[in-house]
Amino acid sequence: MRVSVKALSIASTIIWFFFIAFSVSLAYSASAIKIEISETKIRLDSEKLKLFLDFQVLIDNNGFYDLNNVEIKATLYDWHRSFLVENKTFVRIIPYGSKVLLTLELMVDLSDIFELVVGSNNPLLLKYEARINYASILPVKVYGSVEIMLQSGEI
Amino acid sequence: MKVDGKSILLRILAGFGYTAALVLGYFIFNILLFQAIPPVWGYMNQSLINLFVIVLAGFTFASGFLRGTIFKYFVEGGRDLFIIGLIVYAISKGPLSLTVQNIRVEIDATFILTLFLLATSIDLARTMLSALNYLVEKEKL
Repeated sequence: MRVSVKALSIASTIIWFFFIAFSVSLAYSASAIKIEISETKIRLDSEKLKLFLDFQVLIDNNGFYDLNNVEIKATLYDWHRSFLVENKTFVRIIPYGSKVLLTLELMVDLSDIFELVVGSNNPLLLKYEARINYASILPVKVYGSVEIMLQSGEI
Repeated sequence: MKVDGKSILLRILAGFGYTAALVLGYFIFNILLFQAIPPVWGYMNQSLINLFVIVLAGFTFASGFLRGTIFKYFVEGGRDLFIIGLIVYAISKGPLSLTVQNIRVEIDATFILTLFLLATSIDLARTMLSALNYLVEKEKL
């Protein structure tokens, strides 16, 4: 029994050491990932009554682990939170030490609601969602939203 | 087992030694993690983490104080069960989430917590075997 206790003690010590080292390296590696999001560019076509939105996300993976199944989704809602349009972009893998620039564009036809949106107090709501499977074992989701007021003089 | 002032003092010293090692390890880990991920670390529930470390320190002190007795294994088993309970609770609560301004971050740490559950289960098995071994050897004497 003494041998089995010794064996279990050694196994337990090795496993704890490995897990703690892995957890610390995961946390440290996460801090080395740089994510830059550009300003959302808004373009309003007053003649065709269409709204164009686009933004870019630069992911610089300086960590020790790959980023898998990176998906960024943007959804636009009107002031009643009714769905207008959505778009998403997907990258299968961002290996460690590499950079990826993701661009997301949204185009919405405002012909029915143009006067209710532009130059009024009815903001559009842009919701965004990012999903990343970090190091293949740690799924991370980020949600956020921003309100957009369209001015009549918008470019 | 001989119980006198000197042995009690030695036990208290052993308990303090183990506890000091644990608290020192926690402080080093805290500093490293704070340097690695300061924005996230600031939003974590520090009082809950401190409570967890205090309870763990209590178990560690008791384990050091009761060394050489069967009660040491009771305390270690209790500590392992406490950690297992916490891990199961954390898994059942779903993804860890924190909100920074209007951005919500959700981290599904189920896989890592399951690994920790496995390691703690091995620790619990070791504690139980050690207790049996202690009783067998005591019987032999």
